[in-house]
Amino acid sequence: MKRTELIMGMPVTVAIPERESMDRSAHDGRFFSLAEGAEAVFAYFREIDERFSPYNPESETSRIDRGELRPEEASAEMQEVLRLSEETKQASDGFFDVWFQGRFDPSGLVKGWAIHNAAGILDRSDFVSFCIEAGGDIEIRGANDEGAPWKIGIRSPFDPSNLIRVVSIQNRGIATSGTYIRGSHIYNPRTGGRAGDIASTTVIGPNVYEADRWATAAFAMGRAGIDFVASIPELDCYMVEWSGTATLTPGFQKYLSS
Amino acid sequence: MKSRTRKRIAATAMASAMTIGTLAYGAGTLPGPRVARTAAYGFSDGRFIGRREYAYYGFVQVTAIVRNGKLTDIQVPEFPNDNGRSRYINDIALPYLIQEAVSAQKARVDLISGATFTSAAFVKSLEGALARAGK
Repeated sequence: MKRTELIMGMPVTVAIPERESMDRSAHDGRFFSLAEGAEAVFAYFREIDERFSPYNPESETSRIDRGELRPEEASAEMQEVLRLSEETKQASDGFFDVWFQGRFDPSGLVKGWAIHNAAGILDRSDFVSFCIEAGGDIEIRGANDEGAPWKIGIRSPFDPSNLIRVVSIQNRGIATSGTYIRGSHIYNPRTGGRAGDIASTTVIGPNVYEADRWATAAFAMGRAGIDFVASIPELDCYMVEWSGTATLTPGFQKYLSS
Repeated sequence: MKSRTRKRIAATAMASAMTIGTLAYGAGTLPGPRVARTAAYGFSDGRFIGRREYAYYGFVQVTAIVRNGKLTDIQVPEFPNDNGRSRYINDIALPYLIQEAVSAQKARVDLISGATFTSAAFVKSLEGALARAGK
């Protein structure tokens, strides 16, 4: 079963192999059908959108941004995002910061965090195999319809109707940061400098939260990004340059299908 | 050879902009084909700036360049992941990185990882720029 809804301005997809409905009938406790499992994930994403969207003037994000809500008075979820943001800021040498020029926007962290949490909802309902994808970032569990590791394509930054690689993944997260726009036209509006030669950066990590935050950070770091990712245990990276060259960490090879 | 490759990339990037809407949002909430259809009409020459569109990770804004009534270039003065937060990070010496040439693959896959979030906003901003260029 595969369902997609547009939430937070991006497609959110839940894929669960049909055999899960049979495997799970032996389990005790609360039973979700595959469709109910998918709906629980979509409902969670709608909640997250309401609380965190910088586009919704009533969201906690907007109220903190306007100075109407003190971060320490925000919800437990917001507190957690703020704590993770602070941690990521320090780990990325100050590069990743939800506060920028006096504005507050935790979006760069919330997507991966929300996908990972949504996976937790299905974990707790005894789902063993599934994928949750939002805007190209995916949390992966177990095996696909054929009982094999999930086959994930990496979209070509040169032509989004093509793939450039296929990876086989079981219990990990994968995230890609990038743009489909030629690098030579990308400038940093504040410095006027060229932003980079990197078309896309894909990171595979222990979960999609880790993969997403480091893919985001690494992409904006340019060429140095892959070295930065390689220095973090359990993370592997596939970096594509506009020149048509890809660079991968040695550990990335084990995910590659021939 | 090199300049030919770059031209090809430019062409595919342009083609991508036209198709992303339908690709990423098959349900049809983003009218990708409308961009392509509009592009076939004559435009006024000049530079046309699209609206800043929110792309979840930040904002995307495009400038459409029209020459002789045709869309000839798309520039992106602002895009997500480039919020001016960029800061030089010292290279860490790691000699074991592997390189390969990128090549297109057709394969049956369960799901696709890619930067779709940028595309939707890109298409919206481009639509706005082309609407301004329309005669």
